[in-house]
Amino acid sequence: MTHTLQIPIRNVSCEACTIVIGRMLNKFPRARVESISPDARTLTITCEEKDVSAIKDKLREYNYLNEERSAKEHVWFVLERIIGNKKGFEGEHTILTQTLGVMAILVAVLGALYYTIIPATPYTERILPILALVPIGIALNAGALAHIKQVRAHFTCSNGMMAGMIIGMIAGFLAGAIAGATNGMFVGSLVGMVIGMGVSAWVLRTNGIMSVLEGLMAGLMSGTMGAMLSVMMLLDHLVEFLYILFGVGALILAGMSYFMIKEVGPIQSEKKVSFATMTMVSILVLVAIIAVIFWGPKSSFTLGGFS
Amino acid sequence: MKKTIKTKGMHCPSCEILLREAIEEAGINVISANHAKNEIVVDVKDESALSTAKKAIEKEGYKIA
Repeated sequence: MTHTLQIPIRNVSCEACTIVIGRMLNKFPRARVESISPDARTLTITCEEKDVSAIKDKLREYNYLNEERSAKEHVWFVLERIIGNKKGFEGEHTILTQTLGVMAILVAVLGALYYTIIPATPYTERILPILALVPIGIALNAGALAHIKQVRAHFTCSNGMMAGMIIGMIAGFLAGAIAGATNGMFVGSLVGMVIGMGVSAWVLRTNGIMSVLEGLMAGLMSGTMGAMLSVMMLLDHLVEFLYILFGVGALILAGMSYFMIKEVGPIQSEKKVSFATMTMVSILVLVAIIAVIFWGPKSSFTLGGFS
Repeated sequence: MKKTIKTKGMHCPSCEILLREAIEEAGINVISANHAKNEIVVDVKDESALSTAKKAIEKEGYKIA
């Protein structure tokens, strides 16, 4: 039995949208478009009762279904679909699993380094509590960068600038904070700046000179600020604060991914970032940071001790 | 082989869907469609398949740049 119903829609703005909806409905026997009103944002269709759910799913897949959700409901909707590997969010699910996989591998590599080449000294013992943050921070940033790489072709200028500044700030801040805690203000600032500015510039390289400069500024400020914060907190619960800082950083990176989904939609790119590439680059960054922490120059005032 | 077809007239995600479906109905695999860049990347075996994809695009009222 057929019946007529109104479905709230969005993103319907031109003839192509109307054609897409019409052809989509043609795939359902006895379904037809009665009217499409872009101004009223409603689609009136006639179809069989059993097809309503499938038609709504198809409209959702094409991003036409206007589902009135509160901001909080939408966050949970997206999160549930990513974690559950639901249709349309397979790309994000892959990045999530790759990020967790890279994190596990980096922890294993760090463990191997700890039991082989990292010197067993009082300095190592004192900085041990924050070493675990290094693989976590690298994996989170690798996941965020993989997400950016796969949606950047659909960015507007302001989307790109926002994503580039956030990732550059977080990467620079976290790297600067760790290196600042273990090596002091000078090395910490340099590490934070190099990583923050490098990541921002890489993300924003195709966005024009204004964006690149914004990204470089974000990396410059976050790298130096991360190191400065650690040095200033050396005598005041620095380890605890770094765990809070990394937690907040992780939440901001997750927020950035949500922002990208909201602005440009789920991943549709053919430019997949392979797990092997993500892992190899992350291991190289881990080894470089560990080298700086243990064999790089240190100031006389660090978490590892005072001299 | 991967080939990029530059088009004219794509201006929204619906155009991407429209052309993607039209090309796939012609038996050609679409790797990506990007209205911002006005381009479609297809996986074709030879020039004849590429020509088929272009015809499918033109049939929908879009132009090849």
